[in-house]
Amino acid sequence: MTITSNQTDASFHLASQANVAVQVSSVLAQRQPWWPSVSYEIRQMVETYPVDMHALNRSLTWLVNLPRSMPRPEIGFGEDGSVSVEWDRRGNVLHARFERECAEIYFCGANGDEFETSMDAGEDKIRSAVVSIVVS
Amino acid sequence: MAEAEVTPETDTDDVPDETRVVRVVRPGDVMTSEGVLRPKSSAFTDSRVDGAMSVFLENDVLADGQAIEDLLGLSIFEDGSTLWWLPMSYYRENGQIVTRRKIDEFPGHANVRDAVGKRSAGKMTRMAKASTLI
Repeated sequence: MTITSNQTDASFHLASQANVAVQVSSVLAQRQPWWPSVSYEIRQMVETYPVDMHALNRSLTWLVNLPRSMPRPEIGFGEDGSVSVEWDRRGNVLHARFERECAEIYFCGANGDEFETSMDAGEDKIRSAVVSIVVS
Repeated sequence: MAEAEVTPETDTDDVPDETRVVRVVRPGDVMTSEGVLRPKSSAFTDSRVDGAMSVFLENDVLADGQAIEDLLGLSIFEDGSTLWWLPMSYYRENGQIVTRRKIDEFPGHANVRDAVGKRSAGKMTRMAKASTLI
């Protein structure tokens, strides 16, 4: 059971601030305007909570490839080391969850459309969901 | 928190549907949805230690003479944590298996596992959006 937030485990990393800074700085330029605040938030979280660095890298790579007009995401670290990237705007919900070896997407639109898929599949659906968040 | 001695898990078949099942959410794991606070979806992941999500059954807490809000005074939780609940019926209707597992720190502790082995991103989000703040 893990019901405390500052527990650590050898199989996970509390990444150094420097490591995260390097990762984040590599994607800062020309990126979404919320990158500075999101990267600061991620650094703070990495220093506090165990996270799977592979999952974090996957999430950052996905985030940086989103449209520049994508609104600011909410970032969460799960107790299993996963990383969640989430939007909840005007009835449209998009949740991308990244684990060490895989990632999945959940979308529920204001019009009732709803799907869950692996990040590796359903590319058109995922693109459509991202657009729904951008225009919401 | 140091891992408590492993105690047996027992079923919760006797727990009424309306029982509040309470999740402690870390201070940074709350977001705004349409101007209303809710937990982030990531607050509903299983622990990598035992593959289960920790919750507290309010009926068991009350039966032990404590209040559910007393959870927030425990040192095992971060200052600024908040309590969010769903009825037991929600867990039952959404493939979430709840088992009692005693811990030393507080009565009413239980573990939650998804019936299919892994709680999907969608289930986590729906749980987050359905939760009510205490």
